[in-house]
Amino acid sequence: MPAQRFLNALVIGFFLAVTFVVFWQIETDFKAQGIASGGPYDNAGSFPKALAIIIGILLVIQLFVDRTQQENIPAKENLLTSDLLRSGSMLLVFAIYLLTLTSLGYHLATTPMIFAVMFICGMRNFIRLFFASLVISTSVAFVFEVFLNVVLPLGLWSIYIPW
Amino acid sequence: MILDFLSVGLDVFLSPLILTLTFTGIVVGLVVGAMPGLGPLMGIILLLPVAIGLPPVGAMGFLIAIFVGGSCGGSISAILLRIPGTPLAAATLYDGYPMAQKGRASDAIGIAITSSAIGGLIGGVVLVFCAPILANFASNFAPPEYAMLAIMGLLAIVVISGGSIVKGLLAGSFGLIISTIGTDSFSTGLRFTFGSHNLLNGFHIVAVVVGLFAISEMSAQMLKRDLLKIPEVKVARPGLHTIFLTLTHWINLIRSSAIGTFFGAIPGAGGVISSFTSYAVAKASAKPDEAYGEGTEGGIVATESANNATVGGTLVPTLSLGIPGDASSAMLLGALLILGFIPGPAMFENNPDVVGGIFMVYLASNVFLLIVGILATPLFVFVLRIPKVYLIPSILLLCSIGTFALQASVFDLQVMLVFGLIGILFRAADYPLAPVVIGMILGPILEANLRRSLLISREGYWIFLERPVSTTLVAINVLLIVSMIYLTLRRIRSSKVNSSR
Repeated sequence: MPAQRFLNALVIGFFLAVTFVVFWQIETDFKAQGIASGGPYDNAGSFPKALAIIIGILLVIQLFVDRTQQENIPAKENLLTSDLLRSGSMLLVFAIYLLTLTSLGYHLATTPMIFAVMFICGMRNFIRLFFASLVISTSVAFVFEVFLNVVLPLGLWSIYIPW
Repeated sequence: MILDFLSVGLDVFLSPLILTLTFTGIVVGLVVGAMPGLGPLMGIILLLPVAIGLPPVGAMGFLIAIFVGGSCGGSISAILLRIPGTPLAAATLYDGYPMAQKGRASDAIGIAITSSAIGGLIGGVVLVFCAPILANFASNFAPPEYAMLAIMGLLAIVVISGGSIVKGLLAGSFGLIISTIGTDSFSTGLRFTFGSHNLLNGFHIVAVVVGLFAISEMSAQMLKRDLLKIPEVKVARPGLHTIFLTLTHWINLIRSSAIGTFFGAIPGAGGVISSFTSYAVAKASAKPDEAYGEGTEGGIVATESANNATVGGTLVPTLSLGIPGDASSAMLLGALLILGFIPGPAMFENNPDVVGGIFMVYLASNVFLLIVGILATPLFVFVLRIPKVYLIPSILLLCSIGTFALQASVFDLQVMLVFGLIGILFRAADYPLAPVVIGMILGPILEANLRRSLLISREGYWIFLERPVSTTLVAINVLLIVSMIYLTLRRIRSSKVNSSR
């Protein structure tokens, strides 16, 4: 399972990066602030440092475990490229939505996001897509604005519904 | 003492707002529980931003009711669709679905709901009696005991919850590291903030949890090919006679509820282990004419009473020690912290109204579960017909607006997205997510008590062996670590044997 091996390596790389950041920050920023040494009161670096060492030891063990289990990784459900594309596209649309939410405002950003996600899911009836996305976005806005008194992002054009 | 909590709690509980919130929580819980892929944890996560704006007991009533309803709701889809709405209902499949195939779907759902409610009430009685006693015992605890207890909570969850122990420990350590981001409460130094004012208080736990669990789950749902499919479900209307049907299995009911409560109180064991264990015990002690696995009522009684009793059990260490039993109770603990209460003996002493209120909302949730579950089953069956194409964007929207509503912060949305990506990566590589959250919640408790212990100690780390309770906890932690090493070595050895074959 090369894909699984790649994923395992990716997570191990992620943990290595976390460990590196902890040591790097302790050696630079913590030392500059004077919180990287001394007794338990002053040394704010001792706990994260201990955790980073534990992560390092666990990574070595995990690498060993991965090596011994390389041939016994159970096959996961058979995913097609189209399945991965669907999921990836959803994430991309969602990321764009989050990035544009404050500048476009809730009402301008949300309906297109829901429309796009439902389209990615496979819905092709445009009238249903349009009305469903409008109803979902408006009803969520109603609940949050009217019942929970949340001010949703208005955007550059200050668009809101005066309920 | 116990009656004091209940009487104070009853005063708080008997307000229209709290009654309404508890009732609404049960409806929401049954809906999220019934929908495959959601479940009580997701329900709590999605509605946590809403809950933290409510009065404390109302908020906890709402979330606990979601936990209770969600733990039962999974049985509806397990019985009707042969798809457990939550892993908690996986054991209910064995007899629930065959019973439905025999034309007794309504009876099966009625028995599942009644067993859940009665199991939950039995768990509630244990909660009401044991939590104050445990809190009273823990009131003598000092920093060394709390530090060892936090380590025990984390280790127990990793050992008992199954899966790879090393991966669980890595995930838990990652959660602990995240908890150190922000201003250090001792030295007031800034840790891992990279000059950003957004990180002065660390990451908001809700943003992290929504990303880790909800975004990664929606991404996993998008991989499936049934997004437009409308499941075919027959209408089921359980009658009141199912309550009497359930009560005819009273020995099974009490035994399974006791097993569920016991496993709930052990950090990490949770509802899945308790429901499968109860099922196995019920099957072993069944009469020869009871054909377990072919649609017998006893199978549903065993699994459903156990998994809801687990909720009561898991609240015992959560409330009295501040050690969560599983990811859902970790979220309840997180909610209490956000609301300004620190679970543990101090809460029992200083906020008896909140503790009593929590007891009452938990007991009432199970009564509401029986009423709503029996009367409104057709509604939950209807919910099963909603295709995922509508659910996925709605949940994404709830995630983003709920997270934004926490403190009107765009940064929280970015945190949610980043942790969503981390959650996807962890899921893909089979790393458990629950230890991350539990590490994040236990992190500040562990670090503060570890450093306090060393501050008051004249002999460094020996302080942990100078006090009897602390020494016992150290011994338990050593045992847990030894069992971890043993289990990991056994796994490596068995995989070597398999590969040599």
